[in-house]
Amino acid sequence: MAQVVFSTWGRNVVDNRNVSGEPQEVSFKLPVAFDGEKPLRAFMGWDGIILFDKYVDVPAMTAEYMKRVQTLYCCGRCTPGKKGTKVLMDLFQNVLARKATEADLDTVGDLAELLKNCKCTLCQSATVPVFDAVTHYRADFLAYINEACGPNTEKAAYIHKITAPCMDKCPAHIDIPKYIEEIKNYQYSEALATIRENMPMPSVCGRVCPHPCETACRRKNVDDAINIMVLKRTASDYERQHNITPPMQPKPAKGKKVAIVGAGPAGLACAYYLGLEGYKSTIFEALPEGYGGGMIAVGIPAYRMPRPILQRDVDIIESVGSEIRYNTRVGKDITLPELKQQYDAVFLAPGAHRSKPMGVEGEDKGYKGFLSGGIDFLREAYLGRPTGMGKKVCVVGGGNTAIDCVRVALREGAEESILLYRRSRKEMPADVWEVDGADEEGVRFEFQVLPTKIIVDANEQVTGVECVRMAMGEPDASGRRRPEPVPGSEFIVECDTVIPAIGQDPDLSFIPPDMGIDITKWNTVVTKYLPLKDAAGKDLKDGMGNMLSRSLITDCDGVFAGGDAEIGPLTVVACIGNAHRAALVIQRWLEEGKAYLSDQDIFDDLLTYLGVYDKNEQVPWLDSCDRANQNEIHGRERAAKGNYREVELGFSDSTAQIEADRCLRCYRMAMVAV
Amino acid sequence: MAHTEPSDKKTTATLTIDGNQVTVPVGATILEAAAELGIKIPTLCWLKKVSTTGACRICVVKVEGVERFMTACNTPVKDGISVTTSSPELEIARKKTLELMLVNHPLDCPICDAAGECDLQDTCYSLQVDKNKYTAELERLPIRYDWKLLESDPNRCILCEKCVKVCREVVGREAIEIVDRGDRTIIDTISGEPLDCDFCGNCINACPTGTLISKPFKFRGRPWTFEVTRGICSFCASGCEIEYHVGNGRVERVTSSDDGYNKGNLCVNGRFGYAAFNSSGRLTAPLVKDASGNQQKAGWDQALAAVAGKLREIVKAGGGAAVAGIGSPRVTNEESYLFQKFLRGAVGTNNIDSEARLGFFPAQVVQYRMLGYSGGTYPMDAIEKATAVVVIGSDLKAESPGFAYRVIQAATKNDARLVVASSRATSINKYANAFLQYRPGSEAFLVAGLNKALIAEGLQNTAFIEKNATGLDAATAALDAISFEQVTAATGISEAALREAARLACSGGRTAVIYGADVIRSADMATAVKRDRQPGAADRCRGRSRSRHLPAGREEQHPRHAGYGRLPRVPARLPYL
Repeated sequence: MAQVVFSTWGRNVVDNRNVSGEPQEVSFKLPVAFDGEKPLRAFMGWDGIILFDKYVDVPAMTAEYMKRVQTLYCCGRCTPGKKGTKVLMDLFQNVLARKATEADLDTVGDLAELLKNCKCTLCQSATVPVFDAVTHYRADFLAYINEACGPNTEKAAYIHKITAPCMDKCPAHIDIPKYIEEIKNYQYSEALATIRENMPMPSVCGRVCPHPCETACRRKNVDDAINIMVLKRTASDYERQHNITPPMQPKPAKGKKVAIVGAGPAGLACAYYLGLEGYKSTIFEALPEGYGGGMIAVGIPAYRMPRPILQRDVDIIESVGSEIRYNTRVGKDITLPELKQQYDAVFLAPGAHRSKPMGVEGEDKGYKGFLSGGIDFLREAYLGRPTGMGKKVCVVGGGNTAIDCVRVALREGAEESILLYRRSRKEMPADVWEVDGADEEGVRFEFQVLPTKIIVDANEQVTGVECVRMAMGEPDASGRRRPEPVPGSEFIVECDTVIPAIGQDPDLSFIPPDMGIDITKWNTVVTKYLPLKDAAGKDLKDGMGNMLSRSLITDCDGVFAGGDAEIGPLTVVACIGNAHRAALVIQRWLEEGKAYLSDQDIFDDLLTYLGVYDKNEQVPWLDSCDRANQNEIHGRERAAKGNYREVELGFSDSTAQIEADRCLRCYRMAMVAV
Repeated sequence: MAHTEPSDKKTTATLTIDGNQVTVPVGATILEAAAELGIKIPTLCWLKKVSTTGACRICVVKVEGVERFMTACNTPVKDGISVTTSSPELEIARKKTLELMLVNHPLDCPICDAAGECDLQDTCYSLQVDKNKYTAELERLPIRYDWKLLESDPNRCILCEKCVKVCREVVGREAIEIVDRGDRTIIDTISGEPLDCDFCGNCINACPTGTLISKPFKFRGRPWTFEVTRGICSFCASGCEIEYHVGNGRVERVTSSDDGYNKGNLCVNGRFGYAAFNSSGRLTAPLVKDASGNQQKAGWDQALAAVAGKLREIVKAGGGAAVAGIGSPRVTNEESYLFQKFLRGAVGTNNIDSEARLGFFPAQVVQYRMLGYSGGTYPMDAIEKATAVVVIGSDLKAESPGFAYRVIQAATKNDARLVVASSRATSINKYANAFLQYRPGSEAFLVAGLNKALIAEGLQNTAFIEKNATGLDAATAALDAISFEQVTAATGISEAALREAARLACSGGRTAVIYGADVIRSADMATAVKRDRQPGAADRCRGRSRSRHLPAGREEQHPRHAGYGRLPRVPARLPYL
């Protein structure tokens, strides 16, 4: 079955239909069975067709594809798209009804050419596989037209999915082209409603999201990506700045209730989507009131995420049908088995708040000035508690948390704030703009250095860090060059405070071992997944190395998990996407007693695995409108002691409208035959 | 990829269109640049006054080096590009696109309202679209006969979105939207219920085909048969330019050109109010009482002679003062002028009045005293360029829609902050960054509170005040004498809300202040005017006006009379006093 019968995918024709010798080897990033069971017989989309089964009825599939494009997704907002796909749809229906003529087939190529003038890519890209079908399966079309029996085929069922490169890349699968078009049309409230369908914390992800969507923006192939993140902020700012009451109306309460562990992005998102469906949830949060938001609250400094604005998102989510019980640590104030007993379902979203050890001599000695970890430092600073920080602060790490620490250290009054990172600046996992921001605020960087020892005085007070310079070694087996210490390059960085910020782990000690909930060696919760395999029989995995399609139910019935504690420490948007899915699955569990993924969920995963964005695609367009970037406050004063005022300023509405108009609206539809 | 901050940019771009060079501002579209050169690119969905749409795809052009055609209407220019607007390939693309547009388009041109002024007809004609090789199953969509004043035939619709955009971007109503999918996509109300909107009919004006039509105009005549007379709408003070279409002695419709001062935008009165002219109850000939006291139709000469004779008699017997003239607020300034000239010069009386005295006049009196002039300080289109707009005591759309449309432009297109202060929710509230819902009648306190907050926040434009006004200290002292608690007690608005509104009101440095009937007709204002009407009142009032709302002992400090903002060049007397 995994044998490719025919393919035009990627504009590369592979035809194994009538080969006498060895069929041409070709493989695609697709599972052999759609959901692990139903064999994937054919795939049809913006980049061509792929047939794994020679008995697929190509004319029928083509007709169905065009019908779904025209009747379900064609927006009607441009002439070629609206009318062209209608002409094509009727043409293929006529073929199936044996009312077409051979000459009609020539119209397909003519319209495929004309539809290149479409406003967006939905209808235009739909002509690609359709034209391929008519070109390469002409005999099958003619069989419908000329013969009584039609081609020799077996009936198929079709599943389709609308997507776009940005939408696919966004872990929350926000309908990005839609909200951008709504902003372009001055429909800010509509844009925000679109965002909220998949993202209940728009003001957060409009500010601090690493915006993977922008790495998959097709406009990049013309000039620069659309500023998707700031446009999201624009929509959320608009609602707040115009005192608009969020319009969401939850469905009437359905009687069942859900316990959620953790009021972070995952817990809140799950509560929001359950709430809209009429399921009340109770969120158990270890932090005190006013600190809802989990890692957003205690891990992202206020100059990036102003607290009243975060609180507004939290309040909105709470108003949709959840209650947050602060100061309640599950495992201490209430146990997990108690939750399972008292609630109809439990969602575990405790996050990853435990700092990883640095692996440096002296770190476990309890020295004064050696802080437990970056995330703890940020939390204590935000809670207004003593952080233990001195005047000269050394932060070790290269991620966003490390950057947050050096920048917060300045705002907490550090005279000097130093960052130590073992690789080079451009290899830092932190977002470039965050590193630049720290630079502007006067942070000192020491790149390619490895801390080896904590230096203390007689009172066990930290006085410095001994470091060794690093240089790139020879490429290893994987071809990656690793930094290696340069012998004899040891030196000491003087400081009175060391903050290790090299990563976090979930703390899952609240899960009793006898509950049947499995935990991975990376300290994440194991959840069930679909047995998706490629042609070689290998499991399909996502970018984090987790199984590709997970239903997020643990091995303990009625207990679900999500967020950083399930994925591994990642991003707000990933946690929200993951928790949204958990909410859908929990709803199915509550209503049908089964925790499963819908075809749409699975198709999302399949497309992400296949990849919707093609960085090599030639996108013909005039690059006459540069990307707009938001203004920010400049100068070192912005990081003065106690100054947590927001640094980035967002867009004016008119700038947002011009930026939104740059969007190429790269919708496309994929369809499978099973 | 940069994360913040735009880089420095050139402000103009020079490009070549059909071999001719042109320099235009950066951000201009290819269509606009071509227009500079006098090159006309066909369009159907483009409408200057709203955002670009790019729906019809008729304006495709070729940009050298770009593999696909670009649409001229919504593609910004780029320095150095070379554009071709006409070529065999482009003609074919345009023609085929039109052919697609005509698939299943009804051929009811003979009875279509738009015949003769249909952009689709004109474009097909000029591009010589005489064949259609595309076909599709015919499915007729229901015509909305159930709307008031408007009729919508979606079968004639080419989905240019002009109506939707005018409704949203100009009128701010968002009553119609694009609904459904594929070939069934139509313009309709979102709910599918009959249209419930302002009925301004600006969508009819924008519709390039016979999709959205005026019911009162349907079958009243072919567009080209009317005599068209330009005029100014007198239903309110917006002064919109209109065109009366007259046939057989009747006004059959009113339109407005997008090239006019009001950009073709009218309200329900301007667009449909002409029905009054055709009312059967309207007096169309002079009536003169006969001997038995019955009114009889008369000729103008007879009627005027009768009036002149009676007037002469009265003046002779009782002097000019025995005659009083009452003018209409609906007539033009020029007509009002002539009317008073006649009464003063010919009749010899100063007893002249008008309903306008109960309208804007009271405000004029006060404003004149405070500012030295009685009208607006700028032409109304300056509102669109304001960086902040404060509307006090007016539902603009009800009172003077032309102002509302301009405020909407400022708020949505030009990033102006909007503060609305009113005792009730108004039609432009959805654009407001702050809405101060004060207690009815507390307008004076509201304004005092805003001024107080403005000074407390240090937002006053000191340089401007020093140059143009006197009495800031007195004003500040007067404001100091009132506490925020008093303001809050009177208006129901908190100090924090006033401060926030003051900050918004001062953003950007170009603030437009618009006040309306609720201010003008507030009890407070009436008191001031009544006093002014007494002989010698003007002198007495200055500096010692009283307000019923002020607590005892505070009279002298009433903020409105504190005397700041006085400008030089004060005319000796009010023109109407």
